[in-house]
Amino acid sequence: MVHEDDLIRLAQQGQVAAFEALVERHQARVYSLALRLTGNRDDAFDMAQEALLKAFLSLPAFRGQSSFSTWLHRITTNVCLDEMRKRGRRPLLAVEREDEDAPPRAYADPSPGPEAEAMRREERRAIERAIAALTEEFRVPLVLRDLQGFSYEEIAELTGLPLGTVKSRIHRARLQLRDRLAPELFPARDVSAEEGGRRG
Amino acid sequence: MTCELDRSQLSAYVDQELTADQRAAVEAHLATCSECRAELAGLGWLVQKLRALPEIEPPDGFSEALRRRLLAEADAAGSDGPGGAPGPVAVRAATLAAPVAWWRRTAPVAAAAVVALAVGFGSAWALWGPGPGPNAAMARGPQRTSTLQAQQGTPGGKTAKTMNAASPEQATPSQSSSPDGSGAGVAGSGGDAATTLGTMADVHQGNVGTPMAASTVAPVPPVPERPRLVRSGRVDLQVTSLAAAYTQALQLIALNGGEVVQGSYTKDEAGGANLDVRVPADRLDSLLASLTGIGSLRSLDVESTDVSAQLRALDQRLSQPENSLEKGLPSVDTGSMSGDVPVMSGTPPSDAAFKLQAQRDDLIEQVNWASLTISLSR
Repeated sequence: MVHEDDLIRLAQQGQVAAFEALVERHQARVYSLALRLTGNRDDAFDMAQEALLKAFLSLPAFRGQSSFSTWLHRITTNVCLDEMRKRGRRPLLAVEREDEDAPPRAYADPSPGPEAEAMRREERRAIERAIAALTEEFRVPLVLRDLQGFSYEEIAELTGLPLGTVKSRIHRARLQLRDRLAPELFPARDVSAEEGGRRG
Repeated sequence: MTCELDRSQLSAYVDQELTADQRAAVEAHLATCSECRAELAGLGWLVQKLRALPEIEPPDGFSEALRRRLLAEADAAGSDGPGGAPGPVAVRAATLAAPVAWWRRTAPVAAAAVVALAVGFGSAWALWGPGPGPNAAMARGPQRTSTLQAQQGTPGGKTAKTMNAASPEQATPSQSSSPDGSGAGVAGSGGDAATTLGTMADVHQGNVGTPMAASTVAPVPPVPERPRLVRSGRVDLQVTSLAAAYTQALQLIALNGGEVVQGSYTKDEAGGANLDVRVPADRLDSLLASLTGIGSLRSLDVESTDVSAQLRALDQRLSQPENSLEKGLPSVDTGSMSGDVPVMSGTPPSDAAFKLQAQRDDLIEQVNWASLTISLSR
């Protein structure tokens, strides 16, 4: 397996083929991020493309201060947020209409390992739908935190929101998701009776 | 009943975004508040679910659409000239740009001109300035790159190699060791290769006052010591993982000083990859040997064509006075070589002479650079 640094170096020299090989490793994550940020497939397709093109053009400026994937996900996030801001109040198609007749989405890992099995397809779809149904102001911080793993501070920087707002929006987004998903997915037992454990 | 805790502290707690003090306060509160414990449990459950969501593959056609855009972008930059984004595309723009006189915008003009004189024809052409001819490679700097689109149909790589020769990191073994490298030994202009290479080294070291052989050494048609071979090959490999093999191949090509002229990659089940590669001739065998490590060999063909006779014939014709490329060359005053570009005077050499020389340079190019087609499939 070629080390990523070598591919980056070749791509920095303008080799489209090397860049494609590099993208191969990251495009699912880029597309997923765009899909979950924007909430619909058409925009996700366009913005993931835009982000990768931008990455190719700015690759010579990549100095390896962060990991390549972090760098790429920042670009993707910025491209998506810029476009969403440009549209201003015009709402993005908030809810992804999951056509029941449509073929199931291709998930990156098609082999149903024990863990993939554990998260049943219906469950995944329910969660994706619930994320897409959040309004943008809540969806964006939640996706950046829980699916991308950015810190509060990074999210504040990416979105231009004050740190306190980031924190409260993440929390409120989670509550909305929980309330939406609970009837479908929560264990049948009464959660409030459960002994609260520490997690995270 | 309501508790006083700011509940967003619970999310921050899950996210480990609290200071030690805040964390202690939250834990103290949790010990006394079952409602908050329940909410924390719910948040933890949710966060686990979110983190476990698998990535979603982009739909069919995503890679193809991206490739089209990358190449279109590169094309646009190529036709606009290097005024665009300072990216790989800009590098490529420089690579593909029309042969606007690079020596006018290249910083070390004097040094470049000196090298040009030292190595003879290809560069002498540069001094007059090629018209909108086939010599696009003239614009290639040391950063020369080949990409999917950078078709090597542009002859004249030898002049690029002239530039490369001035930057040692670019000089491949075949270029620096071949007596015919870089257009040296041109009849009547360059003297022998050793002289030329030595001169270039001097130039590179800033030693431009060194007496130069350019017009003082009598024409010595080069006598090939060994057959001049044009080598080309084709290798078919069966591989288990196309993506892995493809990237391995790219690396091996780069390690051997080679360049990808054109590449294609298909991802369907019957998919395969093809790479058209040029590699310094003396590294062809090494590249082939290492390539066999990434898959099992289906077939391998290597062809060698002896072009010694052709080269001798061209040299013979170029040594005729009417084909002299020396006509119109400035007299080289070695004392002023560190100064400006020498002033051109006299009549430039004839078109026929240029054509002959171009033919010869092309041949030398083919001798120095072997071509190889690598085919990967499952």
